Amino acid sequence: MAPTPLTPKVLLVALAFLFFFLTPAHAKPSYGGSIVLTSTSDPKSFNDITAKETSTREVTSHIFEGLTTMNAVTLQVEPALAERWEVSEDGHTWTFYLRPGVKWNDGEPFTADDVVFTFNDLIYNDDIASSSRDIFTIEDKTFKVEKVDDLTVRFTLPVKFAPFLRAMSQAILPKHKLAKAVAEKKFNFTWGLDTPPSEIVGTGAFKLSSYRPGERFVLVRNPLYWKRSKEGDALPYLDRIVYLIVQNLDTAMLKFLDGEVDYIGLRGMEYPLIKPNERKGNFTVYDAGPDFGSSFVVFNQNTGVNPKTQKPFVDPVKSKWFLDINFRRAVAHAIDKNKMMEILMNGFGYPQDSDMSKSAGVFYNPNVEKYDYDLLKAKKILADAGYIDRNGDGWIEDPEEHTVEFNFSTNSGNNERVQIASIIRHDLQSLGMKVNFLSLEFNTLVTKLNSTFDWDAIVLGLTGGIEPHFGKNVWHSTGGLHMWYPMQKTPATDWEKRIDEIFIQGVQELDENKRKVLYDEFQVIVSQQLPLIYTVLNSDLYAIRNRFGNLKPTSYAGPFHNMEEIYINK
Amino acid sequence: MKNRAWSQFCENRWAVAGLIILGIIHAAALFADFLAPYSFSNEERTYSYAPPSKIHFRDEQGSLVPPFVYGAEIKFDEYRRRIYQDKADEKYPLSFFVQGDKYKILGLVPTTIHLFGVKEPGRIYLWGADSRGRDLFSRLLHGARISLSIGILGVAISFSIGLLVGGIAGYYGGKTDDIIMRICEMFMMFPGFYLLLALRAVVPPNFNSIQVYLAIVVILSFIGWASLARVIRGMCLSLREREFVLAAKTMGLSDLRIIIRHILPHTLSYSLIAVMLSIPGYILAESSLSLIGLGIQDPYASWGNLLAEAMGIVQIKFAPWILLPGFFIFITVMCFNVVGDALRDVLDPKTSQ
Amino acid sequence: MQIKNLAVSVNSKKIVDDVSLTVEERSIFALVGGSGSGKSTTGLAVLRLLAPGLEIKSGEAIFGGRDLLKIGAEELRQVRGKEIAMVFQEPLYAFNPVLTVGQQIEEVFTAHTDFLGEKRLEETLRLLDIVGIKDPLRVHKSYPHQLSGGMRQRAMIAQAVALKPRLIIADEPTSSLDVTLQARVMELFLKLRDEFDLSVLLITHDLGVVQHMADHVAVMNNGKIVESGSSGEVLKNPKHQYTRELLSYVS
Repeated sequence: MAPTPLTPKVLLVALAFLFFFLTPAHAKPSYGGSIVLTSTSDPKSFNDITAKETSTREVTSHIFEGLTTMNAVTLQVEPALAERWEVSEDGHTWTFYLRPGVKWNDGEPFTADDVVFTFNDLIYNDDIASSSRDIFTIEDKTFKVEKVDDLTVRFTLPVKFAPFLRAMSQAILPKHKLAKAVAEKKFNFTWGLDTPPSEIVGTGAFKLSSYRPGERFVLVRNPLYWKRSKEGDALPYLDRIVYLIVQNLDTAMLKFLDGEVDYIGLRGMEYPLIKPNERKGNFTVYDAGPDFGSSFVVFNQNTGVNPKTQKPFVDPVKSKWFLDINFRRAVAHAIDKNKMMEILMNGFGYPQDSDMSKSAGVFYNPNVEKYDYDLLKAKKILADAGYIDRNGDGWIEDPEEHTVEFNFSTNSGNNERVQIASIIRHDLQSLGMKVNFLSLEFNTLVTKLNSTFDWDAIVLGLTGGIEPHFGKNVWHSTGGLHMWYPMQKTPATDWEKRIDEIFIQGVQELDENKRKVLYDEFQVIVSQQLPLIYTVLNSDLYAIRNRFGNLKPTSYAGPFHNMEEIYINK
Repeated sequence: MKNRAWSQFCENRWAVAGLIILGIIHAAALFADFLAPYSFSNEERTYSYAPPSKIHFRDEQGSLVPPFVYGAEIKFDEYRRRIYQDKADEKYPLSFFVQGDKYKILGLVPTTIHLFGVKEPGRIYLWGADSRGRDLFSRLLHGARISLSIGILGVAISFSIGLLVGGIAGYYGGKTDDIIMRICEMFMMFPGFYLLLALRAVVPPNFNSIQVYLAIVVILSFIGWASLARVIRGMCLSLREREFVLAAKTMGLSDLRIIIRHILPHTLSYSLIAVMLSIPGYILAESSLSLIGLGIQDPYASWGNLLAEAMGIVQIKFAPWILLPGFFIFITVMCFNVVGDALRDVLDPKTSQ
Repeated sequence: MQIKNLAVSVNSKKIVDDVSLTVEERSIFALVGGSGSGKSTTGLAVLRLLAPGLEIKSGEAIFGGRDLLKIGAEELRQVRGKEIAMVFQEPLYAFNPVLTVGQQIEEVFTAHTDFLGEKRLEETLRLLDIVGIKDPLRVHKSYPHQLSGGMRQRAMIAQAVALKPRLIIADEPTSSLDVTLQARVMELFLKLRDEFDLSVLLITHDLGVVQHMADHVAVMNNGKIVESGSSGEVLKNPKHQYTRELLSYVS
């Protein structure tokens, strides 16, 4: 090979090469800038303890922190306000060693007093309606929370509690700001929407700067934030986070396309609308994987009797069908998941077969029983179980000659769910079942599920997460959300009994591998017994402007779980 | 007298046009089963949001042939948009008086003949398809049946009630009149739409679709009778002073007979106009209920619940034909108003005498 | 029919004051007076058809063995039209303009009998014939405003006698007719009295009519009866000043 002559052209290329490699400038995150996001409703308060809705959490998640935090990418627990911890042999006592030098955003030091205050005076306070109390109460027993020294806190649990570390991402609130309100029993009204932003004191990367009702709320950098990047940079990089309050998702989408907003969460349905604008709008659409939660058909298997009327809640004729596993299996074969995803999600989405979503990580069990969409198979299962058209009227009848007819509802406000329900109804009808579809108002539906129990079949959804134990209210037979037969005194079936056992065992097992075995079994049982017949899950799609660096979009916590690390590419 | 009114009406071109359009729409609704190539629940999920079918009259060589449609190949492009491509080797000729979905003429005589259609697996979507591949043209026709009939039935019931109650109140006067008018005012006081929602919440959820339909008709008629009753009552208050009422009494006719046979016919011209101008309100009320999911339920079609599917930017952008039900509601309401106005010009004693 | 001590007031002002008279069977009794004398009110009071605000303060109206002023509403309704009928002054107003004459006559049958459509039509045509209408079918189908005044009046009379009532109260039946028609209508009354055994309470201000038709007369002024007797006597020898005044208008 002949040596390359040193022409000016070559020199230029060489210089560019050196420049590219030797200049670290473009790789280093820079400070400054804002990110504009949307929220579909106003927060109800800035009080993280009493808050029940996501709009409030949207604000407080940037302001407060817990002793631990979840790494949304690895789904593992990581230190936050606590830098390390220990657990005793018997698994009952947890000792947290708090991070030194952490300050509240008003300059006061963060100490163990704040942790003890948050638990003993806020969460466990009978006068305060805290949404976290249930998580920190096991069999009606609370935890003992004591200060060991300024930087050490000890938690003594009544039993072993596997989800404990995850639950300790619970936001810690400042004692010096709130102790007075608690003493005066005014805490439930503290930190409402008219609070001056400087009063909302947290340890997080940002603090509240302003709130204009119905319009926007703005968070700014907390200059006293303790966290540093791997390279040692003080975090956060961004100056501001602006949330615009918009009426609905369509409006948010339009603002995003207009350039007013930096991020929009979309579903497969909206993909063809947003994606073609990627280059023009200078953004990228990320597919973060399946959504959490579940979407399903549930049949009423409640065999209880209404104490007022002495009549069973469910017509015994129908009860027979709903309790028949073959009936439910046939229905499971009539769920056209592929077409649902094609029609409602433009081909995105994931068929759901289990309570845990694929995005849930460790506890997701893919090896459950699956039911393919096969109407002929469904018909055969029904026929073998005795459901056939005995009189040629086009409807199938059970062995006692009752026409299989039942009500099928869902909540009217969710268009996607109504469509799913309509598709299922159509297919059940072609199996010969007379299905009366009715969409009901959400509250009406909830009343039926929780108190009056006068329903036959419902299409519904639940939120979900990575910790299976937090679904106890659904899966334990005494749970209020045990939809097909809530609040049983003793388990109605053997498989429900086994699930009860799994949930009692699983929560106390600290070895994650052993836990996985238990919860895998739980998911298999559910797929075999079909108390809930699953449908499809959405894909989490995020459209984010390209000017942001350090983006790590996840399904678990959205694209901005690491907001303190995010910067603007200059 | 009737002939003169009719020729005067005919002079108004808009009114005649409105009447003709209404006639066409109602006739189409009446014969929906026959005119529509598909039943309202016939779905073909692969053809989700299929665009209106192109009917071809020339083949590839360019020569004239009987009309046909091509089979469709459905693909997703890189943006997950649906692309419908014609399959040149699959031709489905358009035939008339074809065999199709079963139905019963007037609910009695079973038959399968439809005006036009194509052989399976071809599909003909005159005005496009909805999310589940259901033919919008067919569903619009079936929906017309429900939306229009709810309007007419609802008006019929509330007008019967309003006429009778107004007649009784106006004829008897005094305390009866007072009590009845207070009740009317109570009904009129409620914001109509919220009364609608409240009554709808009371309907038991285990009603099947026919019962829901009837319940909606009853609910709508509940709202509308009061204002008519008030006007009729006013007219009757003056009518009862007329001598023929006295004469009728001397003949020993019962009060009810006098009200119905003698007094109410005088309110006919007003009532007719009021009917014409009220029907749109009923159609819109049903549409509003169905739009938010509390009216006619899937799979039955009404213009309102057809429109519910159009409530999203994505749907409107990629399948704009989904807005047709709104167009039909608009046209129908306009026509009723135009005809009603023309009727008022013709029948109002103040302007025509 | 016997009216005894009838008193009607409005707003505590007496417009009919202690009126008594007797209408014999098969006779025509004329109740005469100027406007405002209370004669029409007397006629209406008998059938309890007074306008609101007018109150029957006292008195009796004995007919067919019972006091019409006291019987129940349903019983009274049966009396009206069937046993006692009324004929009004202006048939154009007394008929309902939006119904045909035939429909309105048939209504009397519908209200009191169970005749079917055919029978009602038959009877109505027969009635129209009796009152001297030459083309009963055409009149039957006509609206009141399509007929001449005379025909209208006859039709109204036909309606009144439909069920062969025993008493007809005629309130100024000829006052809006011209002279020739008046005569014809009066003759019709006489004919009907003979054929159907009718009695007539003839309320009028026209003494010419009284002279021609009435058997008995009572003269009213300001709500009171000032003179009464057989028509021949009263007309020839009026005793009361007012009667004389009235007569002077006629002659």
